[in-house]
Amino acid sequence: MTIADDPIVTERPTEPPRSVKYIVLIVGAVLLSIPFGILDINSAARGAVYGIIAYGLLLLLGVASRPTERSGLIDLSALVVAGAVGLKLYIIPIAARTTVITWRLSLRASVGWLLFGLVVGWVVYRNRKGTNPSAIILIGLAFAGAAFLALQAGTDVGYLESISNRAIKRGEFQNIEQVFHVWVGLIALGIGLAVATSFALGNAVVISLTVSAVFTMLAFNKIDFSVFEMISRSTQVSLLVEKLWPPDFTWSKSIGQPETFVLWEPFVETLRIAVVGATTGVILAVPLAFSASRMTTPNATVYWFAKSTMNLIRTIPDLFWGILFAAAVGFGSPFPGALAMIMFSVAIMGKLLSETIDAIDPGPLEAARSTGASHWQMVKSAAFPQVVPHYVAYALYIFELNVRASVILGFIGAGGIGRLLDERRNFFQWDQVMAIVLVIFVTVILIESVSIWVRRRIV
Amino acid sequence: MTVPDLAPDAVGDTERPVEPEWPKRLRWILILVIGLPYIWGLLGLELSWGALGRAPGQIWGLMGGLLPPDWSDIAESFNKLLESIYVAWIASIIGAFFSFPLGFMAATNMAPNWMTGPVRALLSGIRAFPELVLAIVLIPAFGLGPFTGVLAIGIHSIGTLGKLTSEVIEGVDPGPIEAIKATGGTRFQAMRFGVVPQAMPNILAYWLYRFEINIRASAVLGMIGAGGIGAEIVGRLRFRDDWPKAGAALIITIVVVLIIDAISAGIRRRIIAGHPGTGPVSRTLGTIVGDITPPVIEIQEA
Repeated sequence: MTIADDPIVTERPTEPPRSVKYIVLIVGAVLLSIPFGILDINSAARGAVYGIIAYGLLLLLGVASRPTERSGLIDLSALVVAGAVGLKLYIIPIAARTTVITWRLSLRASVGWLLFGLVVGWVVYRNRKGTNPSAIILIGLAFAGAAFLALQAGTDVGYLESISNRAIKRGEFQNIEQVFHVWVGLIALGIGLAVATSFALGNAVVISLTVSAVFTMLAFNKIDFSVFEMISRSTQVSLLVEKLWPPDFTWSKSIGQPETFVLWEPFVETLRIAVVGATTGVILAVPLAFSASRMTTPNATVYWFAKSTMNLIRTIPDLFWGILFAAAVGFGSPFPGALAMIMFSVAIMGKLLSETIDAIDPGPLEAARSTGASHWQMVKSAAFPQVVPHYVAYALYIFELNVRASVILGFIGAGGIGRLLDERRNFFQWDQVMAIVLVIFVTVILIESVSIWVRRRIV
Repeated sequence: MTVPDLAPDAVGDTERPVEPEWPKRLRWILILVIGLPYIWGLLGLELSWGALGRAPGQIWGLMGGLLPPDWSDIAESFNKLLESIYVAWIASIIGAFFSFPLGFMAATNMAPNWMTGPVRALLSGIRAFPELVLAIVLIPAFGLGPFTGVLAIGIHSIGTLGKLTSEVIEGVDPGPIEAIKATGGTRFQAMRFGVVPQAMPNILAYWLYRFEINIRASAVLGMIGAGGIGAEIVGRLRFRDDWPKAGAALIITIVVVLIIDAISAGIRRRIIAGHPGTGPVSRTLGTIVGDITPPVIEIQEA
């Protein structure tokens, strides 16, 4: 089929000469922005510059979104007005600050960028048929969020904290200030435009790449991390070997006493915490998991109660459980550690097991019910046998996790080998630290390989 | 024609079959294997039921100390929280960057056996160290600070992400790879055009998921002084007067972590499941703005 055969496709409309269109737009941009330049910062020339930037912006969006000549001037003026007003809104709170740029100030300053972003979103929506209207809000939020993050990260560069408003008025820090604003502006423009472009193109890759890149840049800047530093500091690894090697497995409990193998007791304590925590938790999780599955619990109240209990336990991380129990039943003893590990195990087993029960074959359940079995008999003889292999595998996996997690509990005073690790670290006894780490490493690897071997045989 | 005698013993055999012995024995062995260590564990735990009875009251007291939160220093806490997030982000990038090739090297359908073995051992060796322990080992060389935190979390992420990546790669459909090889594509081309497009959505989702986990890990690492919100909270908890400020820091941490989790979960769902269609926001806006014609997908004829 050729184009000529198609009755719908008629002649192409004649396009107006491109150069004329662009010249009209440029002149319009400059003329439009001069008054707003005056409104913003005291110079018409600067206003013209803003106009040209806004025009470039429109061009960029236009390339992606094929603007019609009719909408060109309206969009342009909207962009210029929004840009100037937004910039003004951005400058007002920043200029009025006393010392540090706090997050409240950043929020207020980013309102200006929000306005600008909303207009950019509106332009994209107008020019690109089929764009979701929510793009307007999303693009606005993208500009505002980017400006907020850039301000926050920029504060931590350091120099801005010492600048007071008076110093700026005296003109001492004019240059630094402007560099900072250009930096914030570039980041906000980068992220915001990426979002706008990706909406115009209907492709999310542009935005995710830009956001990732900008966020990485901010992160590098904020915590003083760089690839070069990583390379230059890699020589310090030799220092690591020097200090950590050879490991020192035996040391005296206190100065002057004969050497004793003090590693043994806390190590056993950790194992005890893991064993008791995993076993108790895994057993306690069974009724909870069966109540939290639609398959075995027709009663809605019981189901929701069990489900929300499980979610609550899971939301709180293991260390926080440790802190809570240590505060409750006393620091330094392994008991709170075991309690925390019980919660940790219940949380994981509850989730894994209830999801497995959800997925069991309903056939045997129906068969059991049709022979007149009671609910409990049904669960016991038709549902439970189906999940036993999975249950055992999960239990072993949870024991594995418990060994690893209970190492950490010592740091918050909940007993075990972590306490010793923390203590030796505070004394800068790195060779003893290394010994503890090696013991942990070997134990974890051993338990993991046994557990994997058993699991492979069961499932 | 005779009826085949299918069950010769069925008529006369009224006895119950003898129950096999070994499940019973197995049960006893299991009870011994689990029960004895359990009792051994319980004996050494310094259990005190009295303390457990007092526990709810103590926890209530702890909560009472944290609440009501004191919001006066919230800006500083927020900056520390951002620092934790930045640490987690860079660590996730390090993890993603190095785990990607390692994942290919550990996948049995991509690499020869002599390579998968050592790489897998390396990955599980890395995973054996919790982040906190890794950070402590790194302190003598790199000192306290975000740098150590980034390295510790990053290295741990390489271990976990490498394993997950290799599992995803092992699960891809071998058809496209064979097709590329059949048309004369090289091994690299088979990976680039046969494996990556299939595996990438899941791998990306794992990267995001790891970022969520790393935020928590970097908050925890603050406890040993590796920067971030953890140090802030622990420092505040030292003095009873500062507890309300610690409460405020805890609250913003939980809220921000939950928000990031929700966003990340949304992105992950979007990556795995595809475009969700018109949402409630766009519908509401559409009534204000005007037409909301859904995007028309033009299918071009070949």
